[in-house]
Amino acid sequence: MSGRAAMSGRASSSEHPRPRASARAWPDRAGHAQPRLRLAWLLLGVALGAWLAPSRAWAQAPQELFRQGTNALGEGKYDEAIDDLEAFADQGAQHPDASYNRGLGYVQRIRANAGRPGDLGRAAASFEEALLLRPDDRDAEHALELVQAEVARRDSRRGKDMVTERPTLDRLLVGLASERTWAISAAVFALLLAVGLVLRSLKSRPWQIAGRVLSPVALAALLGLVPLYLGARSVRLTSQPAVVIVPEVFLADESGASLGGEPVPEAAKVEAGEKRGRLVHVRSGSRAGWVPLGTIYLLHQR
Amino acid sequence: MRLAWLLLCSVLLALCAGPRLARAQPSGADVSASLSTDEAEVGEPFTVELRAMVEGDSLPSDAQLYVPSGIDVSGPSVSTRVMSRFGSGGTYVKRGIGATWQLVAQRPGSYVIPAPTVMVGGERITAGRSMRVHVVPATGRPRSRPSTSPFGFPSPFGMPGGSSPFPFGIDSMLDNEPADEPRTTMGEEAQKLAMPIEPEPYVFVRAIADKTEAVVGEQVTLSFYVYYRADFEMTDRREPSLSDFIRVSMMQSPGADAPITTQVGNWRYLVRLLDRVALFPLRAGKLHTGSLGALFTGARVGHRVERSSNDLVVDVREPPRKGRPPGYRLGDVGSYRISAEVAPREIAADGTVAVQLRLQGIGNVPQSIDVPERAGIEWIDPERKGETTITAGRVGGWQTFGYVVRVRDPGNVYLGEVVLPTYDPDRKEYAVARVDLGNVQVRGGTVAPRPAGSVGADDDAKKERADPFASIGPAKLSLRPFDRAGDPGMAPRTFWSLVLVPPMLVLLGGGLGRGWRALRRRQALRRQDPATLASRALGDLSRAKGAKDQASAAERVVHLSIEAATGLKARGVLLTDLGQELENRGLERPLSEEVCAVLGLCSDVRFEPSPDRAAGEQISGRARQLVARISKARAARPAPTAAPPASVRGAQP
Repeated sequence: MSGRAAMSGRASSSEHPRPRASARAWPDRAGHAQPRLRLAWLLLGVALGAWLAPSRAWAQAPQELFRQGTNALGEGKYDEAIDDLEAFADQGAQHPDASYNRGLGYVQRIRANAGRPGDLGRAAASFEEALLLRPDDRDAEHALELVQAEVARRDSRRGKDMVTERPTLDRLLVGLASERTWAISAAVFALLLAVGLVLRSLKSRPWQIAGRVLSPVALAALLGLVPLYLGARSVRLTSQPAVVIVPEVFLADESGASLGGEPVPEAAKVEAGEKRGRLVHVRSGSRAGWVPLGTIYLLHQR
Repeated sequence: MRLAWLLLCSVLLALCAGPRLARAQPSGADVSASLSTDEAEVGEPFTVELRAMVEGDSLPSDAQLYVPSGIDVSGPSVSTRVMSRFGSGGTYVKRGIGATWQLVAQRPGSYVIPAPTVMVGGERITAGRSMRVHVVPATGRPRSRPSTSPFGFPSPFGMPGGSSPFPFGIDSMLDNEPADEPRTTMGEEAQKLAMPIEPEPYVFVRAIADKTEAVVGEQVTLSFYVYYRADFEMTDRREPSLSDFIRVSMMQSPGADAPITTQVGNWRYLVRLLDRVALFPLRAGKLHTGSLGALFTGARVGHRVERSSNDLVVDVREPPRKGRPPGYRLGDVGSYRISAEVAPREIAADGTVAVQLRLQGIGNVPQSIDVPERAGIEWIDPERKGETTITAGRVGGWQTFGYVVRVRDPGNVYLGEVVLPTYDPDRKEYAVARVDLGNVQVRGGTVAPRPAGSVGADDDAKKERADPFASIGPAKLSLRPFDRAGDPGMAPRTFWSLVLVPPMLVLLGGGLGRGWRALRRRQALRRQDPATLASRALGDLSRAKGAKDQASAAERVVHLSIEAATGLKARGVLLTDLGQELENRGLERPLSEEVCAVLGLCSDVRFEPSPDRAAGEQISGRARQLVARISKARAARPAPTAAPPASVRGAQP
């Protein structure tokens, strides 16, 4: 894996890649400086060049990286394929096909008996990312199921019982629909409430009855939908989906002391929240705690 | 003749002895009866108890008791029991029944109660001899009855099968009397079981925990006792929920322990251990154990009376954060040690070794254990075995994990170390049980040949190694277009606008409409207000040209002014009565007289054929002055209740 931290922060899309440092810019700016300063600029330029040199993929367009990564995948050069496709994402490019191929690269490395610890988690994260970008991607969905089944099988081999993390009831309710869906539903019921109020004021008896029934029903639905919208909004804004990319991670408190209980297994999808230093707050089902930042892969935030 | 006498005597003897011989108790039958008291008061209940035990499969049945007139009888209450004895003196099993009748004497006297009978093996057996009871007149005072029961053995409570008959002698044994024995004579356990008051009469169930504070995973021993001082049968036992605990039963044969005599309030009770379980809390918090309940039936207790134990609350905390080792799993509490066997120590590359981990100790032995993850080493399928033991009231045991470990890379491979962090509540500190698995020498080259006919780990491993990703899809060769639309959410401003605006608009519209209608209604009322009409009439008076018109206008102005000021419709009142009426309504006499005078003048001018123009002007002037005075008078006095008049605008001359 390249040096990309398991963080979001991809500043631009594939159509607008991050601008690269221009090698010609340094002498031009240095030409107006004093000789000592010029030397300092020169050294800095050399250092930057050395830093950028290993990342051969950085200097390439995302489409080119994707092509190279896909070709390497076809040729069985899985490490190279993973590097290229990670570089694709490092440039801020997001595409479900690239994410899928990246996950495939990790899976193929495992199949080739060259897998490294965390490859299953990274594969699952890549497939999750592909599904987030393209929810109807059947290939990614199937691949994710295979990876999760393999993780469960390996856990079973280690004598660990399968633990199903269930979200809390509020998260379950909020997660039934998107924030926009809750908002639109609330707006519809607000409209129905208005209609009900109008009908109540009509002189016609049947319309009055319809209004008397409609308005409290719409009001009750509205009172239920508003918290759901607020909850969904809060979850969307304060948390980010993430996937565990180490064999297992124990939840800890802010000081790093383990909270105990079962560890969160590899490839488990969690909700990441606040970050403090090298720790990030995650929620796995009904449990919450802090984990090291490098143990999870933050997925693309839509 | 002598021979005839001898024959007759023989027949008579046979007739007399026959039934007695027939009623002789069969071999092994033990039938007896007792009376709870030999002296009772009129109306005071007392009991006759029959006990019949026989060897063999047949059970005594059909217990009967005939009582003399003057005594009412109810019952019998029948229960069964099994009594076994195993020892050097031999083994036998006796089955039997107990029958209890309740008797109440209706009048004083001395009564002989025939012994009860019971059918045993097809024969009716009489239980001992008849009993005598002396009944005295009722005094209303509580009586003390001496113990006469011959049965000193306890209830066979807790028999397997769910129903626990309790037929014999408890009433007689405990005698239902306040204990006169000082508490200091009780044993240590009896003192622990003693209670200051009895929560429920005659029989109740009590739960006792050895501790009420624990950490998650620490053993809490919960004991259920039944306290009784009367005969009972227990049925329909309902176990406590214990949903927040792992439960391990600690009793081999519930109900078989000897009862303990203790003191509850002023009563002497027998206490029998009903059940004892070790609980291991699953989470932190104030956890309820729930209640153990059952239905009790007895002569004194009642029929199917429900009794439930107390619901205990255990305050469960997490082990301390301080000093908690990494990898500690909540609930791993106790004191353990791990041992390991690794064999063989030398294998070919991609071969397997068997690693047998044994975890043993005190506590709820963990059901899984973390194995070291190392590159090139694959741990396959642990085979688990375990046993739970109870030693000195502490749950413990062992658990083994049999692993097959595949080592891919050749060389001297270090397998790693197995660690299990636990919390020891006795020492209040964490401990880490660990075992070093050591090294395995892995030869390079091909896989070692499998011994002929050997099956097992390698075959299983081969199955496991079947490609789990065989059905994964191919790589995507191009970046296909995709819709980036996800859930952009909705801005709160937009949301609240959509939610609040429609109902607010409707409410606002409704309010405005209601306000407009109220305004219209108010305007309509004001148009009909006498003050307003009077004001208009003053304008008409100014515009009137002829004397008659002026008189008519002045008359209307005065009438409307009076109505506005007093609420009186003066047009319907005779002029002769008007003055008095106005005074009644609060106008001063001079003003009311002036009113009458002006109205009279108006009437005169109106009915005069050719009135003088000056008279019209005079009326007009006087009417204006009068209206102004009425208006002042109205302002000075409280408004009339009938029709609150508005101020008469423009009434000033």
